Amino acid sequence: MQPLANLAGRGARLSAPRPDELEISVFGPGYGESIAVHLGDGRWMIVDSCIDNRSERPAALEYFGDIDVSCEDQVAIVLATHWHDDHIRGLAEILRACSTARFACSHAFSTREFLLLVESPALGTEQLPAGLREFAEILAILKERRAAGNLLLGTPELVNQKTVLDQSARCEVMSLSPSSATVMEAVQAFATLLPEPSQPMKCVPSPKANEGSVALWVCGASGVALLGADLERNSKDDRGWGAVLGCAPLMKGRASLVKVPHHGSSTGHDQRMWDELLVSQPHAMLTPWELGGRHVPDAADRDRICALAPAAVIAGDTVAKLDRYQPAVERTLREATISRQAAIGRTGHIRARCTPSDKGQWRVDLIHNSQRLCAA
Amino acid sequence: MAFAAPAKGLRADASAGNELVSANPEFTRDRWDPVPGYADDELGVSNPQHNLAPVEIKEPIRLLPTARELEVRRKLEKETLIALQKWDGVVLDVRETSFVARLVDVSGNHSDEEVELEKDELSPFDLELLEPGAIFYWTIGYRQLLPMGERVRESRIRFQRLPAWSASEIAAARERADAAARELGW
Repeated sequence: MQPLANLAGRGARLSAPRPDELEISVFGPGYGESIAVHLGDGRWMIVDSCIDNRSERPAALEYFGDIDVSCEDQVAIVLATHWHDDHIRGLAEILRACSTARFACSHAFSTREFLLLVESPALGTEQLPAGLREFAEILAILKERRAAGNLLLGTPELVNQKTVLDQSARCEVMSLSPSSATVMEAVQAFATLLPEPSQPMKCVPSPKANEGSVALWVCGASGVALLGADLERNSKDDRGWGAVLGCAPLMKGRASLVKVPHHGSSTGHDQRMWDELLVSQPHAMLTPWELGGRHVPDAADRDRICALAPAAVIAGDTVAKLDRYQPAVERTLREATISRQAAIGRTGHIRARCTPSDKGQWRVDLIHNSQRLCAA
Repeated sequence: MAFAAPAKGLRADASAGNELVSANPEFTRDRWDPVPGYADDELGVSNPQHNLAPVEIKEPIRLLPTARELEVRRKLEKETLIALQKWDGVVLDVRETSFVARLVDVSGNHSDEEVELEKDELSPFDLELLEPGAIFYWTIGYRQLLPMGERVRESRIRFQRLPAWSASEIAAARERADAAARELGW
């Protein structure tokens, strides 16, 4: 196992990967989680969006600026794995900057039910943009492209299970989800959110379940990675990780690097994924997540992941610091709230690279605000 | 049959140094007028002025303020509430006795927070609006009480009240969705 290099605070100048080098860069939490994948020969793919809390810009775009990658010319695909605020906010800005990138998303998003949600006035406030507005903006960009005569870039790539998103001599990217059953389930979930006459207008909440997430299999000449998105375990084998296992015959070899699904939570854990799709003790990367006092990964998640992947690393602050208010406000908050936590921790960046000569051994660098998950 | 209470003590206004009970002149006027034909004992009330009798009120007594009263009250509250902190909030999850919300500082000076609050913090009217996706405004500040200027710390949560969907609005959204699908080649 390669030692971890921590580049934080060294002032090290970051450089772009070699043409034959596969790279998986994970950003999070900030506002969300995002992954940049070097597909080879200077071509990139961006998966989801994470707003860097220092710059308030998509972290992947900031990184490309640091390593002199042209968003306009070198990003081939922008993928939305699912519709959750912590994965989608900032994606429209990414797509606009990456003007030659194709946009890919789950097949469920092409349904009338989802489009009707997008086209219903998505209400919010200046400070609280509704999650659907991001999609509305993405669709507006695609329409602009089509109106300009660029049908290829103006037509979204609809992703089902086993969709090949990119294929070159260096690398192939294939989707492992969503399964057909999951797409049907997602559409039913959208239908429950549709506006009804006489029902009060509201900010449409994103569905709770993550089975519709697009998990990816990145197979390069130098290494193989499994990007688990927020895909969760399901009791039925035609959805969630159970359905992914049905793709196993299509996958070449096993992955030696995994972006742990759903922030390392127990709901995203399916032991069969670790046993059947990954090598023993793979490199594992993840980002934390918090909601209403529930923090993932929690201690039990940490123990479970560390037993399977002792070299696991986590991006960003595991516990974000709360801002301080005036004493009177702090007193009232103490009295009024059951629990309180910062929604956004400092954004971290983990980078894993692998060349053909590395023979599947990834070099993992903690670029900033990242750390080992497991005790030495 | 309902009777007005004595006007003394009921009429109140900010300039006189009392908390405003009502700004509606109909609601606060002197009503302790003599009613011919009724003795005080029959009316079952104590009449401070023997030459006066309660007047009958034909409308039922309103417990809830009128729109006009609310408007005046809000204006007055605005003038006397010193806001220390304001957030916009969105409900993320509703639990048995509590709810989880994301707070965004209106001034933009503080990072977003996620909080769990007791449902008890909400008024019965706002409680009806509590569901995932509901938007609310939370203000913490001091209320300056007149006339002595005492300060009371106050936390106020008010949910956004939005109009209901009409069938025509939904039909229009459906048409836009169909048009979007055509434009995108779906």
